[in-house]
Amino acid sequence: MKKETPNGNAAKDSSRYIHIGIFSAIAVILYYFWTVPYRAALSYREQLQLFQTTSTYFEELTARPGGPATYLGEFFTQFFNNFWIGAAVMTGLLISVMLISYLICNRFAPSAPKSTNLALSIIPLISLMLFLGNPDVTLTFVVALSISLAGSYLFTSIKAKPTTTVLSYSMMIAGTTLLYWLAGAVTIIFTFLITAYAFKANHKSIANKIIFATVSLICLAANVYIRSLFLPYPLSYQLIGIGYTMMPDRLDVWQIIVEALCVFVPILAALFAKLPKKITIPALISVEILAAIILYPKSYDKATYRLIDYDYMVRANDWEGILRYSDEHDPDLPLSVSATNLAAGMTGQLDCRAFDYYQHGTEGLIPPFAKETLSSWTTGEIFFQLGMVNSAQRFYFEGMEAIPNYNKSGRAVKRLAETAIIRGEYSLAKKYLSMLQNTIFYKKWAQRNLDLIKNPDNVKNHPLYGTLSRRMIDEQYLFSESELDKTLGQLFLKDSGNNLAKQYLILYPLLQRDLNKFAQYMGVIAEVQPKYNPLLAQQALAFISMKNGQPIPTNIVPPMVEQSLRNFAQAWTSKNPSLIEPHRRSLFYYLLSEE
Amino acid sequence: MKTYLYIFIFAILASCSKERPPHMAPSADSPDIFPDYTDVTIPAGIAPMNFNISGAGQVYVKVTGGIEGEMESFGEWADFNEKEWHLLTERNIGADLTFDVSVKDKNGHWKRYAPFVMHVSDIPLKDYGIVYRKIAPGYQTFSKTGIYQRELSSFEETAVLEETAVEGKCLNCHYSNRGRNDQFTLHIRGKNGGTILNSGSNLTYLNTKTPETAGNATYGYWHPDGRYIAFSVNKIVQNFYLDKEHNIEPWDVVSDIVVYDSETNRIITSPLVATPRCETTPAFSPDGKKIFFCLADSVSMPGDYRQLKYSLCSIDFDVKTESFGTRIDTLICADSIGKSISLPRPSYDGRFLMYNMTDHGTSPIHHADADLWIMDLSTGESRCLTEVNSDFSDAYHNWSPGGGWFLFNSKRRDGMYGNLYFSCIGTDGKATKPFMLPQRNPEQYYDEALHSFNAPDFITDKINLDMPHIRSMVKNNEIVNVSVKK
Repeated sequence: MKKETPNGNAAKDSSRYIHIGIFSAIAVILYYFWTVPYRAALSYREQLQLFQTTSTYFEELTARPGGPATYLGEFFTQFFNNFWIGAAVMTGLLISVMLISYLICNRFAPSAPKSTNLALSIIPLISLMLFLGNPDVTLTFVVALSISLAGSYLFTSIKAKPTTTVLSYSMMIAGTTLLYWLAGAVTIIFTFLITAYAFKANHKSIANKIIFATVSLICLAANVYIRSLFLPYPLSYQLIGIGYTMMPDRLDVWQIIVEALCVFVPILAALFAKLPKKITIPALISVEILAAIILYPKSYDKATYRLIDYDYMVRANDWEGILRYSDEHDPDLPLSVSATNLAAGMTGQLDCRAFDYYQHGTEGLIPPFAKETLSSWTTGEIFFQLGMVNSAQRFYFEGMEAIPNYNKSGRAVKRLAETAIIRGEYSLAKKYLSMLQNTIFYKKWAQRNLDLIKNPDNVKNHPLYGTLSRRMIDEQYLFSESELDKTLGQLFLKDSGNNLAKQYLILYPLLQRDLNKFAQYMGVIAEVQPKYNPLLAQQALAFISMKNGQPIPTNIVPPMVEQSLRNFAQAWTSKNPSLIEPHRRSLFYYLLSEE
Repeated sequence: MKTYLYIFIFAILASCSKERPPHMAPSADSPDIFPDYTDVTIPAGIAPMNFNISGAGQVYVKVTGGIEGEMESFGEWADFNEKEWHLLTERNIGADLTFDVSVKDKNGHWKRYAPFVMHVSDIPLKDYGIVYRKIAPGYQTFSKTGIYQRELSSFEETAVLEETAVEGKCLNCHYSNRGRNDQFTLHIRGKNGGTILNSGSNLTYLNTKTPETAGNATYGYWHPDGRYIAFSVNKIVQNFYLDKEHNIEPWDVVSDIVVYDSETNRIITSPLVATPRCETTPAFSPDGKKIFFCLADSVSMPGDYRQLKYSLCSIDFDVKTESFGTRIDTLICADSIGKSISLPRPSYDGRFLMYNMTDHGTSPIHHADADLWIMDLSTGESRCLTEVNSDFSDAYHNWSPGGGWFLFNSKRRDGMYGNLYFSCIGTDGKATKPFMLPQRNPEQYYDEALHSFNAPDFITDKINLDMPHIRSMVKNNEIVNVSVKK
């Protein structure tokens, strides 16, 4: 046995501190990553589940292979409701993957420099982070990976000491069965790692090693097969891993890469053990940094994350935030355009600033129904704010039902409870609120609302529920996607204080380029609010007058608007693209262009 | 250390102790139990009628049979021992069970309530259980759906077929021949969709859409001989309301009636029931000689949706000639009552015809005013089943093959989620107060459930599907095209 010299101890201590420092630095980077640029991704994941602290929920999830990992994953995901805590949870889980990888590397290469093993253990973390760039990857996968790696580490720790063949096989069979239940498909990592570890042992014959590897694989296959007889899932779901992503039938190539790297990294540690760390560490770190830089933009798709950002702000009703975001990143998809229009409407700027942003026809004002969660919820939010509470209820319900892994949603159930309260369906509201009482983050809110609905007068006087209830159309009335403008008119006539409906009402025909209808709707508004004369109305009136060869009414249209129209007309008739370009974001350009 | 162990063991034992309330006279108050099982009539051998009492810390219930026997329950809710319960109900057929309930509140004070009774019917309910689809009461998107069966004498529920088993397909209603577990149809929608037909000897996967018919087979009803199935072929669309009171208005763009022959794999049609008018929800009479169905004149939809009213009609069907009759009989004319009728279901003994009545339309589960009505087939007289109806939708009724008992879906709890209720019709023709499908912990179950029990029916025995076969048929699209008899 080697004796440590005092200098050796000091070096070991300082190396330990350096390692702790590296872990801490990575943790800080991860925490920053999830709290600043990607906080919306946490909210996105949290809203696609409704973790409940009930026995039924526990029993339902833990009955399937990987179910306990799903239960724990969803338990952790609920903390994403608060991104400060959520980011800490996410960081903790990611660091645990790296730490266990590091410990396994130490098992495979005990004589290798610890710094090399540490540098290697960053590889699974980077690959996992790149996999997490797919927003549909759930924490189930991260938890399952940690469990499988922890099981492997435990096995290799026991095997590091002399064990009998019977004990080895017993541990392998029991470990595989237990891990398959706990973590699901990623148990394959355990199977490969313990096989690799068995091959590393010098005292066994090659035949013994092959038999052990074969039995390990058979044991895993037997677990999968036996489970498939009782599970209501196709075999492919089990092989991919139930609950690892929101898409139960799709296997992301990054999942295979992460799993493969978790196996190869300890093997690499054993291979690199004898290489000088002066070469391995810089080489590894260079490769890791290069891979992260090259692959990051592909994994974290900008367009996808912009939509997630919009959705996050819509959920938080952060209207000013949306407008700031849209000023920076030009919205051009139905979800982002409609979120921007909603934000502009909620801040009373839509009837002035609508064409400061790219417009997408009436679909950018109220997107049509799509069997997809985010767009359903954004449209649901528009309906909710407009006072079309039934439609809001429908779209939130549809959005929840469209969650691909059949989860329910805390965000949606909360809105469903609110729509039920507004509609006076208190028994239904109570059902939803009772469910939310079984959660950590919605519990207080649910209790407040349960208290509120005990007295319907309180609902009537509630600033949000009371207002929206009064805005709802009274008579039996069918929703028509093709006649939404008529509904907007009804909403305005029901409550002339419904500014959002009013702004949507005048914008709707303009987006259809239907100036006659616009004039008609302005007439309806003028009867109730004669002084209402927003910028869009002035521009439209000036445009109509010019188009019809009539003088622009200066009592309604200020000189600045008239001048801007004349400037546009001059540019448009010149057909010079560079002169037209400055007017591209204007009502005038929209009305004349076919874009 | 030992002391702590003893304290721990004592604490465990104390928490499990069966604490009886102190002796006290019952108050005049009735216990506020969920589900409301007071004065309901139950069949002997039904699963324990467990119930919760809101705000109770502990519940003690003593049940005394009118003929003989008694049992007790202690706990957070009334949770009866299954064996004792079955024994007690079997011994007291035709008599009352009296429930003496005492509740300990959170402050440790006991209160004894006025007793209530349940009546054990002398009409037996011998079916194994019930089958239903569990589906979120949504609109156009459906999360996980599945067909499930539930044993009536216990709380055991098993999946017949879940959506996840057939890779994300939407499962539609299950129709069996008088509750038989080996003769039924089940629709699968989506890519490679079709109709699973279990004809008793064969499992086949059918494409029921033909060039000559308007759509896929939708609402079905078996002929008693097990060879023919009457279907309506529907193309359904939905409209949505904006006012507080209403939600959805589904309606048929097209709907006709056909009869499918499972032996020749052909569809039998008739110009009388395949018209521009809407014919839907067929049901064979118990002797198989007649098909009851609903018929509405075409109106301009969706504008005139309030004028869409269905009459109750019938047409003869002759299995020997495999042909429909030559005239349609109108049993109840929608114009004369100003209402709309749907889902006719004759009792298997031929005594009654149960149906739904709403103000308009064809989908009673989406109408809060939907009520169950019953027609005495010997006199043709109808009456509203006021003794079972509620202020919300009561629909999707079906009869027990043994007679007397029926079940239906009702949204009475919250207006949105449909739950199952049971009632029976005695010799006097009156229906008993319906009871909700028992659950181990009813409040927890029904509060947490985010599904409706859709299209329920009785089954005489447990269904065992050959899952690998079904998966293979669906995945490989091993579909058999149905043709039309010329």
